[in-house]
Amino acid sequence: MGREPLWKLERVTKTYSMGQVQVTALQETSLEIAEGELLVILGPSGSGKTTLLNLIGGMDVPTQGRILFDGESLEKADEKRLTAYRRDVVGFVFQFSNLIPDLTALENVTLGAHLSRKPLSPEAVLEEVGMADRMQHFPSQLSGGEQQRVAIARAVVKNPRLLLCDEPTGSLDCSTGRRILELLERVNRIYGTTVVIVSHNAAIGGMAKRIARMSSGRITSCSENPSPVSPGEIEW
Amino acid sequence: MVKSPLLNKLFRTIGSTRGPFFGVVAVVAVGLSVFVSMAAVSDNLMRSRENFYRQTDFADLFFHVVRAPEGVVEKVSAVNGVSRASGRIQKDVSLFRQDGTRATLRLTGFKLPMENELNRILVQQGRLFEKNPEGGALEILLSSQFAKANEFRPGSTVSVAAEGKEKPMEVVGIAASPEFVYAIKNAASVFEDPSGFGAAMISLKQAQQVLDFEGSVNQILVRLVPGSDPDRVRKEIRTILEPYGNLTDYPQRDQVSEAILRGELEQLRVAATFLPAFFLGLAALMQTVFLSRLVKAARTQIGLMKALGYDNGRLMLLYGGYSLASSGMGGVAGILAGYGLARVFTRLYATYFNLPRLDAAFNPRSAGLGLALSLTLGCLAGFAGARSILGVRPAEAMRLPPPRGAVKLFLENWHFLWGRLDLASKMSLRSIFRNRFRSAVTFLGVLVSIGMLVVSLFTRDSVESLFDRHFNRELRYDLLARFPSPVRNAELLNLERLPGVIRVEPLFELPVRLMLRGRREETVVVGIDPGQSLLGMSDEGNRPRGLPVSGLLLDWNSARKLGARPGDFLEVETLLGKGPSRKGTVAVAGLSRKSVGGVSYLDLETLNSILQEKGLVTGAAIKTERGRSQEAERAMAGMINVSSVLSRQKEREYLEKNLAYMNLSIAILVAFSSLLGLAIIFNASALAFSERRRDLASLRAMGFSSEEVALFLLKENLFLLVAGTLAGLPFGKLLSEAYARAVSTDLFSFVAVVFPRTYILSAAGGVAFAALAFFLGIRSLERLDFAETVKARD
Repeated sequence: MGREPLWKLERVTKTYSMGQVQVTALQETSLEIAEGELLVILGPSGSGKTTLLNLIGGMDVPTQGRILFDGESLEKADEKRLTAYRRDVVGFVFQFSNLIPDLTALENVTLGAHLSRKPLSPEAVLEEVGMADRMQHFPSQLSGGEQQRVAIARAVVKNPRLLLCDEPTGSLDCSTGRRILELLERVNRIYGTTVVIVSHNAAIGGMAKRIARMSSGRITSCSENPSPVSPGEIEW
Repeated sequence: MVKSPLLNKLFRTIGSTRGPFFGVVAVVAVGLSVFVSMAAVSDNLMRSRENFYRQTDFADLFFHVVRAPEGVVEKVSAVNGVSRASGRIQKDVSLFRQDGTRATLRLTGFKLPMENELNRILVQQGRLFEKNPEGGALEILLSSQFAKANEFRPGSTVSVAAEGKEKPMEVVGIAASPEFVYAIKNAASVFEDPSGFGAAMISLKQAQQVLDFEGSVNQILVRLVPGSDPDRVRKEIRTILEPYGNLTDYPQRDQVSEAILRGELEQLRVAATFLPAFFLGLAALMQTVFLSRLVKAARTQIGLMKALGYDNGRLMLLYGGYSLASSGMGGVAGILAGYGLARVFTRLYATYFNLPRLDAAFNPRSAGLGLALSLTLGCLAGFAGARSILGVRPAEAMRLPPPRGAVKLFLENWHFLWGRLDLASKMSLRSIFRNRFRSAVTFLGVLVSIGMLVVSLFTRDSVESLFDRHFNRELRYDLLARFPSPVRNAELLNLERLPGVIRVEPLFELPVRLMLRGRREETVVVGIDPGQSLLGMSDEGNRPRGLPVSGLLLDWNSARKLGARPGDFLEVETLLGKGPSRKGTVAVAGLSRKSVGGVSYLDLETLNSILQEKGLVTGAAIKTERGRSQEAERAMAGMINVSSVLSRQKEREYLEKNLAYMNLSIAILVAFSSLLGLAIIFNASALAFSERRRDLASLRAMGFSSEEVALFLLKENLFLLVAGTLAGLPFGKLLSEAYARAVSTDLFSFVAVVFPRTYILSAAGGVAFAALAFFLGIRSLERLDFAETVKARD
């Protein structure tokens, strides 16, 4: 990793209390992410991937350890600061598109644009994700893959510095999933957005410049991928 | 005993949705408590009234004559259709109170032994008067409210002016009489202080002595043979009584105390019908809406249970059980609260109505009926809400549901409008139209709640405006003095000399029978000087007007009954009760409308000419210097030829003091309406939140703050709230008018007046509901684990 990391996680632990049981989802995990990179975090379910993603994205705060963004520590930030961080810095894409059913594709994306101080054009982004002719459709009128494209457009339109994708292909068939990955790779390439993809699907690692592997709440390895392949070539 | 897992699930579902569950419970409870309490109070009143009337043999027909020999009672008894008749004397006399003021006593003479007489009395304290008391003392019994207000008890001696002489009378007991359950002088005096009017009972023989009525009576009471035609009997008896000066006759239903009591029962009946209908109906709708959401949210679980082998029937029972549980719980709470309310109201009624044995009995009939009603509605709502279970197929249910379908609205074609809306508004409007039934229930709930707030508050407005009219426009005098019989105008000079008196204006209150085209109406015509200023008159449109130059200003209610219009000529028969009855003709010059009771006005001179007299008056309206009316009233105490004095100030003070009942009802109704509104909004917010959890969580993840997201959530309810409030205000006006119509009787025309203040206060209710919705949204959002929600599948 040649560039100065923009995000730094230092010995981060996250413990949840589930009723009377304490569950440690993440244990003393450290990670650095440089601006503009495409990182894939792999691991089986329950390995702590989503928890890690939530911490990076300001959806949650760690129980122990430090999270630094551009030198600012986020672990003690209050809800207001975290909201501002999510608003200005982060874009999320989830396994389920989570689009607002009462808004059209364009309106869903515009909703994201409203949040940003320097948004991209919603129409242009929708065109970029291949949804130019379906902008006026409601989510219920779109296929799963189309919904996910709109979700990506909604995250990208804010022009975030970091795009966090939690199992973005998890609910899609293989070929649709591949097209979504292509799209994420394009976003990384065209807009220079840092993209972090979390998946249990090891094949996806092939497209990353760097791969982190997780197991039982820890990052077990972190390696550079000298020859990333195009998402179109990934098979699973 | 091992509980069935389904029963466990039912309890847990109730536990996890306790907010909306208890919202429904509260609405059912309010509806039932109103139903149970009003039904119980009205049953209690009705039963006590029936018992009392039966026990005392309350007459079917009443005849007032000037004076008839006692023997006429036999003749009346012989009329076909008459089962029994009683003759008696009834006359108003003055009672001098300790403080120098006077009260009016309606003295009634009863024939002894009383067993076979009609309108008997019930001795509540002390003993009955004797036929021949030792030493010839005059023995009377007093009605309880009057005795209490004036602190008279058995053993007290009172001083009474009768036939121009002052006489001491001994109070030997307190008694209840069916014709004084609500003791007022006449329909026009509902606003008068009850301590100024009471009933006194005496033996017929002593009454005849005191009132100079030896061997005579002035009233005949009649009990009809069941099934006989009252109109025919009335006509026949009128003919028999003709030579003795027929003054008036009326059936039991027009007897003033009975008319007021019946009016009150009617009000209760109206309240016991329309209020619970609103509440229970809305509760059922709320249940349906909530259950269908619950079923939708539990689609996967239902599919799973079906896959395990549970059939539709048992699953319907599970979800139907949810609404049955809320109805049952609300029902029981409502019955208990209703019984408590019934006790409060019955106690209150007991202070107004002298009904022996009026107590707050538990009313199993209304309780059972209420519970059955709420459970039936609960069942229906349960079925309606849970019926989508029938369509769930296990395999389908376990697949991820597609996004909720959205609809394009007609509004979207109006680009100039739609284009101006922000995304949250667009989203909310589409959601409102997508969930039409739920939105309709919320809208309806707000509408009814706001409407009921208007109704709760309008009573005050109407009474206030009635007060204003009565005290500021109609009564401009400070005191109204009445004489026991007509006197010469010159006598008024005595009044003018009293301390503090500025102005004295003569008047003649003449009871008359008006006739037009075969219809007849008994009323009072007040003769006044054309230049008088102390009695305010209004036309039928409530606009102030003066006395017509010539002709009669006819009371609009009498006009309605007679079918009379300005320009008609009415036959007039005087019913003064003293001297010969005169007949004449008078033209209707216009119509007059009074706030309470109805009188017609005529020029004093014309009235005298009908009586073939000149310069006679029966009373005077008196204006005093500011603050000196009591002094003048006291000065009149010694004047034996003044039979009663009405003080405007006292009347007003009494009324203001006695608005407790009204305020209590208003407070209860306001509380209930607000509770309905809050429950509706609470449930609507809970539903909107539960359905939108995922949307809201993703908005939070995108970087919207809790407050911004709460505003998103609020918008949907806000549209419905604003619409419901805007529609609720005119709906409230309509309800108020319907209510006023329902409770108006011949005695009082209750006009629905709604002040802007009421609209503002009611709309403030809407604002409070919105604030609650917003607060609830924020609270739910703070509890929402959005990181978890965005990840999970529905």
